[in-house]
Amino acid sequence: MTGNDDLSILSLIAHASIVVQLVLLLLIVVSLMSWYWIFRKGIAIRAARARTIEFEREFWSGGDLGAIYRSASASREMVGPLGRIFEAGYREFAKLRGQNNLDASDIIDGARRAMRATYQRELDDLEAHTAFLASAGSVSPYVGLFGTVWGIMHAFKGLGDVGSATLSQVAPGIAEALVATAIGLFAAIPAVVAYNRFAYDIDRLATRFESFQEEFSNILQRQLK
Amino acid sequence: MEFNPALRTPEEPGKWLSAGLAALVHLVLVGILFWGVNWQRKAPESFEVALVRANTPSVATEPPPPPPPAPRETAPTPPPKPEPKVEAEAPKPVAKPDIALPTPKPEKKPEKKPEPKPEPKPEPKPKPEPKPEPKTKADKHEAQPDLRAAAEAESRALQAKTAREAAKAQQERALKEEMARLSGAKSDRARDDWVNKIRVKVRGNIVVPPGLSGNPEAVFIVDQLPTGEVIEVRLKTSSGNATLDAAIERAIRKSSPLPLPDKSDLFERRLELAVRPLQQ
Repeated sequence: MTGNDDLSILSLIAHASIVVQLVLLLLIVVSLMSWYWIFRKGIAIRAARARTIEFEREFWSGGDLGAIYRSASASREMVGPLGRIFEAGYREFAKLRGQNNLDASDIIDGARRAMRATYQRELDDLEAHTAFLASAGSVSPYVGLFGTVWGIMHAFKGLGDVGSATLSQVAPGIAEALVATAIGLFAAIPAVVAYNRFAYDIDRLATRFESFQEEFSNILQRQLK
Repeated sequence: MEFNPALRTPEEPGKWLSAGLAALVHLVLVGILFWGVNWQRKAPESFEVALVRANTPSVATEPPPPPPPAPRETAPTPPPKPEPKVEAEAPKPVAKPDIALPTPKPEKKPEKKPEPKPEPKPEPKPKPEPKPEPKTKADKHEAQPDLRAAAEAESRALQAKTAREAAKAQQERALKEEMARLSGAKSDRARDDWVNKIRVKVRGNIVVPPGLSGNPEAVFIVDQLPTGEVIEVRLKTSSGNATLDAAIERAIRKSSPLPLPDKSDLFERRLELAVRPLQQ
């Protein structure tokens, strides 16, 4: 390969050794998946936040709890995570209140347990696949580096056969090897940024859910008296 | 066991939207990489700049009003003016026609010559020349019919324009010559590159004889095929060390095929190659 070859990205990849090509393929797949999850989780978390705000506004506007419960259980898909936590808690509360032999604290505890379970499930749903982003972000640079090191080894091995070394003999090999690092970084950087962002957003939502549970328990307790 | 509705969580939205967006991001990346790397590769060639200095009178600085500057622009330096006018004017028409001056010039000159002549005689300096000119012209206009004056002005403008064009053409020609000279230098450089490449390859194959002192140079004449295959190697100038000469000759033969030049027109079948065993 002389220095006159066109160093376009396609020819670089086409000339790379099979290991480097496999690394590139892996990185491209990882990058595609991580971008897919970035968009998907981004949309989902944004929707969850919007519906949470909407539900809080509706809840604190002072409507009848029974009416809110009925509308929430009628459209579980649209009510958002906070609405589902409320629905689970209120359903349990209504069920336990029907049994006469129960203490007030038992009823509240039951409702809280139901809310807690739904809360965990909702958080789990929100956090699903963000771990993939985290590992893509931390591992892709190393995978890319591996491809680069392998490619440079390959380039130098070829150099040994030629005898006299000129820059034009080494450069293409190193350039094609560095493509692997570039793609690894391209896969890693957005994944890390998105993971941190999502973790922060989910944390804030979790705090919101928890404070809602406490406040809602108080309301239920007042209803029992 | 009753069914717990909390287990039925809705599917997260945006499945296809995010797949599409992810694909889009990667298409953009591929585009950037593809074009970006290509640009880097091509840019140095297309932006090569050659500094050229053309030894022609600068036309750009010439002021637009046609009649007064016209005579000055063709003879920009003052020296000709103080000398006898007729002689100073005479060379100009000779110089201009060989570029591209059409007919109006001959008519023009005779008319103009009388004008400058009277002026410089009273005043040796050429500068005041433009001012008096209109006056003498005005005198002439009174003496001659208006039609003639109009025709004269028109042809004068025409002459100025053609003179400008001629100067421009001359400048372009000078520029072209300069470029040709530069590109000649460039091909010299390309040839040097090529010879250097051969030298590097040969040097890599030299087995330097033990006890060699210094870095003597030997010149060989190498006959080669267009593929770089070495046909014959002859010693032209010895390095002063017969063992080294033999070692270099072996190295040249061993280096066959020699590297080829980047441009095939630089190739020389009979190449004079000066080699030193060590890098300078």
